[in-house]
Amino acid sequence: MAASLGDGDDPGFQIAPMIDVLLVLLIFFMSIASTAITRYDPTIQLPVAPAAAPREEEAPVWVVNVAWDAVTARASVRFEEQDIALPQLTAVLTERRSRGGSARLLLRGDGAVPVRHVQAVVAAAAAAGVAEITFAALRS
Amino acid sequence: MIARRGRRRGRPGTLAEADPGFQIAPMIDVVFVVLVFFMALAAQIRVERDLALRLPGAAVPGAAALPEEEYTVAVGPLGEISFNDEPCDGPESPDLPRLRALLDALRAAGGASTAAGASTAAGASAVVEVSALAGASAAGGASAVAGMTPGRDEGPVVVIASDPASRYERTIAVMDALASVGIRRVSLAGEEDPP
Repeated sequence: MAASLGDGDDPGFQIAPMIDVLLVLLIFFMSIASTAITRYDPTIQLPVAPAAAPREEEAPVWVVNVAWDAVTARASVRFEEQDIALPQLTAVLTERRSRGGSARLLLRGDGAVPVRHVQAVVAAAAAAGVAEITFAALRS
Repeated sequence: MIARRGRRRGRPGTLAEADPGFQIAPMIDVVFVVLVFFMALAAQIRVERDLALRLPGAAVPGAAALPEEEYTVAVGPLGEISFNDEPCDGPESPDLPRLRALLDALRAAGGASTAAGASTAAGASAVVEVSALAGASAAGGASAVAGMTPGRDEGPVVVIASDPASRYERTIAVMDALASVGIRRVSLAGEEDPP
């Protein structure tokens, strides 16, 4: 009686399937989190600004990364994980705003990038009518 | 059921039949692995902060903008800082102490001092102003800025004119100095056609 299935024997609390389920959930949330943070290019060395304010996480934001390759002395502008040319960036932002989207632009520029590239991104955003730009920085 | 389980434990049975019960050791193993994973992950996370700037839009070059007193902080190609054309901090000073002292004095005076010689690079014809000053825009974008009304109560306007070849971190250092003394009305001056 004890060995057969379906005869009403209670297997009790099984920890192994529960850990299985928990690990699946963990992997699911890890994958969600990694897609959420890929907008932030980890290779960028942000400049330091101790007076910068804490970020408002709940506000919608368009993230533009301006990376700098010191070896080739080339800057690259990335928007939503893709390299993008500035006229294209203006077009994309204009199109999003025309669809009713409203967000601030978060500019994550490498501290070593020549400021002309940042100025170009700001000008492209201004041409698209983006009214609010914030500059990402580290506290220390 | 408890009695049945106890009976099973009591006799020498096979592995398939034996109930191992709740095993705390493997669970702690798993929990520790997860803990180490998150600790390693947390060490790489750096909390970012923001320097905010509101842009009503690109003003038309030469348009009547920034009618109030306006101060210019210029960043040279090597990172040297000058305030209203007066050399201020060198490229080797990351914290810009002299600029901070000047801005403190400016803020304390309420921006009432004269702005003689203030408009330098910003006044050039080939300059696009992307301004934090609502109402300064001739491009019609001022209505997009909520909660900012132009007026002399908000303090002085500071234009940051960065050399295009200078490092971005120097401009951020200037903005940090402005934010630390509470100057909120900041404009960025740039070339009209940046490469």
